[in-house]
Formats: sequence, C-alpha cells, structure tokens
Amino acid sequence: MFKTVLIPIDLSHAEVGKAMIGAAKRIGGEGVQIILINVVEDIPTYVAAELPGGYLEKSTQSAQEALEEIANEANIQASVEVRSGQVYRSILAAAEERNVDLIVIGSHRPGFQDFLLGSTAARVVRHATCTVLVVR
Amino acid sequence: MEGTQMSKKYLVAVDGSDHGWKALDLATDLVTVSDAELIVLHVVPYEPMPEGLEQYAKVEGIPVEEMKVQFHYSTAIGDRITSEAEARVRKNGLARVTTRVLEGNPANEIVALARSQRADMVFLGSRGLGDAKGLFMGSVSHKVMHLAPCTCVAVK
Repeated sequence: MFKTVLIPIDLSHAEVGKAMIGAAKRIGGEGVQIILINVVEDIPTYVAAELPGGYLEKSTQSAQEALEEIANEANIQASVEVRSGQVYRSILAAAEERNVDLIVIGSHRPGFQDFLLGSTAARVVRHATCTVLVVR
Repeated sequence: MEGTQMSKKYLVAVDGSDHGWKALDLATDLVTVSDAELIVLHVVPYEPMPEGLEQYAKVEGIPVEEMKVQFHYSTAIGDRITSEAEARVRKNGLARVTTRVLEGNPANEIVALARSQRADMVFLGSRGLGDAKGLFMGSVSHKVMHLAPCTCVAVK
C-alpha cells in the first residue's frame, strides 16, 4: 500500500515510537521502508552563545543513537535521520526529499488533553503532500 | 486503541470527492488485511438555523419555513454517494460493510459516530469538495484530526 513511511519521533516521548512503528508496519504492509527522523530544535543565538561548543553536534549524535536504539528495539530495518531546524518544516522537507508516501505522527505529547492535536502534528497534516496518519 | 479484543471497526467518511474515494480505497485495503468491519459515512451538510435568528425572522414576519427548505440539501445525494461507495467496496471483495447517511455539521457528525461506534480508525480525504483552492486541507478533515477520539488518516 505504501512504499516509504516517515516516522518523526519526539525523543522526550520515545515510548510512543513503538506504537507508531507498529501502525506503520500494519498500514504499510510487508516490505515497507521505514525512516525514523528526529529534529533537533533550533536554539536562539543568544542562548547558543551560552552553551558549550559543539552542543548541536552532540545532541545530533545522541539523537542519532537514540533513533538507532528505537529501531533495534522494534526489530526493524529502518534508516534514521536527524535534522536541525524548525520541527514541522524539517519533517515536511524530509518527506519531500525522500519522496515518502505516508507520514505517521503522534497526535501530541502524551498527558495533554486527549482531544487536542499538537501544533507540530497539525501543521504536518495541513501542509504535507502525502497521506498522514495521526496515532492516538 | 480501543476494541483490541473484539474485531476492529474502521470508519471512512466520503463526500464524493477524489480524496474521499482514495480514503475509501485505503480503508478497504486495511480492512481486508486486518479483518475489520467498515462503516461508510456521508454527512449531508446542514446547519440548523440559530434559534435567535428564527425568532427574529418570526417577529419581522419573514417566512422561515421556506428558507429552511432552501438551505436543506437532499439526503438523496448522500444515499447515492454511500451506495456507490458500498458497491466499490464490495467489488473489492469486502462483505462486512455498513453505510450511514447523517445530517449536520460534517466534522462533528464524523467525530460523534467514531465515538459512539468506538471506531479504531477514521479515514477521510485530506481535502473534500469544500476547498477547491488546493493549498490547504479542508476544514472538515482538520477539525476531525483535532477532535477524533482515535487514530486518524488524512489521505492525499
């Protein structure tokens, strides 16, 4: 049904990653190619100036490792990618560039009232050029 | 997701648009692989006249009943769309399908039915007939994405 699925993962809520990978496998069928992505958010320059050097590199590195671990735990062959920038823009850019035909995204950070859709998910749904599945 | 013990229930909303048909086809595929049952829904858009406005019209001597008829779509359109959808689904080999035609605010009705039927997933076209500009998602799908109690798929 779908060839390539992009799963943006918020690492502070990595536990929902499993559910999203499950949904991607179910909806994508066998042989679906899964891409896990995490976006390291831009830090304002005045904050960045106070941080030790190489902060972005370090957080990119640790995000990369965390994604690989999630892929391992879920026992899937996934390619992982870490970008930096504005979250929803980076997700959409990755979806465009890698020509994905489905984005599986969490509805919001858990713990929030359950009838709300997080702003990142809402923007992705609104602007994506492919089908979007919102996991609840 | 609810209803893991019982068989799954998927809800698909169709409005006769291309995106709606694509949503139906995707839902059909998934229902087939997960042995679920499918509910096909069409909502005939209808906003009841606000009570205050009706009162105002009465006071002013404006015939309200005529207006109501004018703003009321026929459910015949809905019946036609859902029966076309049902035929399409059955042709693809699906037997467990039911159709519903409801009246009201489309997003609200979709969400309400998803809730009352305890649907496991809702499918709908990302853009329906309402928005021809093609830039943004239709407001119905956006509202459903926000309010739905379950996993949602906006199909493009």
